[in-house]
Amino acid sequence: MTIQEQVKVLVEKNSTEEEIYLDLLKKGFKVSEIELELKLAKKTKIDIQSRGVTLIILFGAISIGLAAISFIASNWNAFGDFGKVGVISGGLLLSYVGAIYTQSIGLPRVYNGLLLLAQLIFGAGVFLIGEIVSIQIAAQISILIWAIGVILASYLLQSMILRYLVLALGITPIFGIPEFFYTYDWYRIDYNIYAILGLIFSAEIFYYVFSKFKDIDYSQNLYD
Amino acid sequence: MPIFAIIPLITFIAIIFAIIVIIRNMSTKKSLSDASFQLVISYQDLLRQLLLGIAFIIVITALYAGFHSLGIEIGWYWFATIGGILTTYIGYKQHSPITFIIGLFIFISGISFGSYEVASNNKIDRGLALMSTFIIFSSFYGLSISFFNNIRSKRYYTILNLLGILGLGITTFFLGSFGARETWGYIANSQDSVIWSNLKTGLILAGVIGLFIISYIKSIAYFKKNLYQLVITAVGMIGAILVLVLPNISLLYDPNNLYSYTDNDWAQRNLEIFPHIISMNILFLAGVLWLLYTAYRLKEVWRLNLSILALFIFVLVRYFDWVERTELNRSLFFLSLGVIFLITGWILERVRRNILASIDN
Repeated sequence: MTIQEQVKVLVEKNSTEEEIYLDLLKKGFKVSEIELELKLAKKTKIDIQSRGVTLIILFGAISIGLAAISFIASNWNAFGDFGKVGVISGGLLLSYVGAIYTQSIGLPRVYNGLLLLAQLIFGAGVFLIGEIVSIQIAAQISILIWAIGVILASYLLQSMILRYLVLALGITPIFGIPEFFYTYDWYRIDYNIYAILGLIFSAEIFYYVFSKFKDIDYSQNLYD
Repeated sequence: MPIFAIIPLITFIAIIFAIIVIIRNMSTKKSLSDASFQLVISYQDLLRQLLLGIAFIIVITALYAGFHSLGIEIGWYWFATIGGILTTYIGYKQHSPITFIIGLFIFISGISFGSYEVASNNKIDRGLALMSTFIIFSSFYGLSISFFNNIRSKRYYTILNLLGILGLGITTFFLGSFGARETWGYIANSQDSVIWSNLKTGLILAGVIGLFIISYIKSIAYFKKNLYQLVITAVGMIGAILVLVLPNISLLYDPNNLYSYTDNDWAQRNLEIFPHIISMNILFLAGVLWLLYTAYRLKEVWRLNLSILALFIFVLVRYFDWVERTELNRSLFFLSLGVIFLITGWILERVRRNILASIDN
């Protein structure tokens, strides 16, 4: 058996570190080798567990978000204008209250999940309120509005998941650019709105990148 | 499988491949030779660089939309060209190779569409548009050499070098196939008269050669030992010159009938563009052999892998392009190909082992 396999067996038997060191030193392995393998074994175990919990919570949040959107869409006309705004605002409020509560009792993964849910409800709100007031507007513009909101939330709240949502929402309008410029005529109001929102979004990203990512330590890695 | 199904598939595979390469090179590395392919150092760094790239793309499109809504009609490619240069520069300054690459691609798309549009609108020789491709990619290669001497900018050196080689290689390879007969005909089918066309070619030729000589003389003092790297840039320049000269020489001989055969007259048309194709293939092979030589001189394994891959693709594609497809031909071809590759592989494996051993030392 290799040292890797032996360490794995011992860790699974719930042996203490001292026992593992003693056992393997007797078999002739070096201390540095044992140390490295022990670190790797522990790291893999912890990483997989935490990744699993995070994924389950994230899928839960996304499912609730989708359920909310489809429920609203199915009974949309029954609510009335104030009812519609109320449902969206209520959903947003509930997720944020839940997020604050879970943060206070020390559940960071649920906190992240609820924050993601809040952003999804916000996005649904942007599209659905567009429907209430019957604005014929390009989907790319709605996504830009959504992204501007999410990047603000990501700036104000400490959450990794929101950074990735910003990335996803930033890429989406880029894929929509050719369709946008081919579908909509010149001099339409959409162009003005797109230009203004695009500049706001970019300014936000620049500010965000230069303020939030300035702590990355390049000294050991980069040579430029 | 229809072509529209293949393109997304290839794009998807390319994206997956790029992600794997980036993540594999993400770990902490401390030696300078390893740093040449290190694009990001962590997921946070990847996110930062991508966000910067996205912000620049949105700025460019927003400015384009804004100008048009104000009634100022400027082609999108000018925004892309200027925005691409800016993005590339900021990417370099902000330790962001991925933003740097995004900027280069924005610049390439802008300048190539721009030169094509300008050439078409002003009814000037459309060979100019194609020539610009050669000049851009050989400039990338030339520019990369200035990073080579600065050991701290190894990553940007690799990006520009690789992009220059790929751009020049793909353009030359495409122009060397019979499938490019439409392109050659399109270049030559200019609105200009034959005399003006040749005069203009001569002027541009003189300009390009002049610029190259100036850059060559200046580079002697600057590049010192790495002067031989400029040969790839020279390949690009020769390609640019050939793209202009060849159709015009053909026009001198046969001003009325060039490229005007019917679609069924393939044999005649193939004969007409035969010199063009041969010259492009010689250029391609010369470039690949030079790449092989620089791999050995610079002790960079990726050059070796790339040149072998290029040779393999060259032989395989040219067979289907040139040889009549009968069963006997095919069997003889694959037999000889197999023998050649076995022997070449045997020799190259020894060369490669020597290179790897010398790198380790």
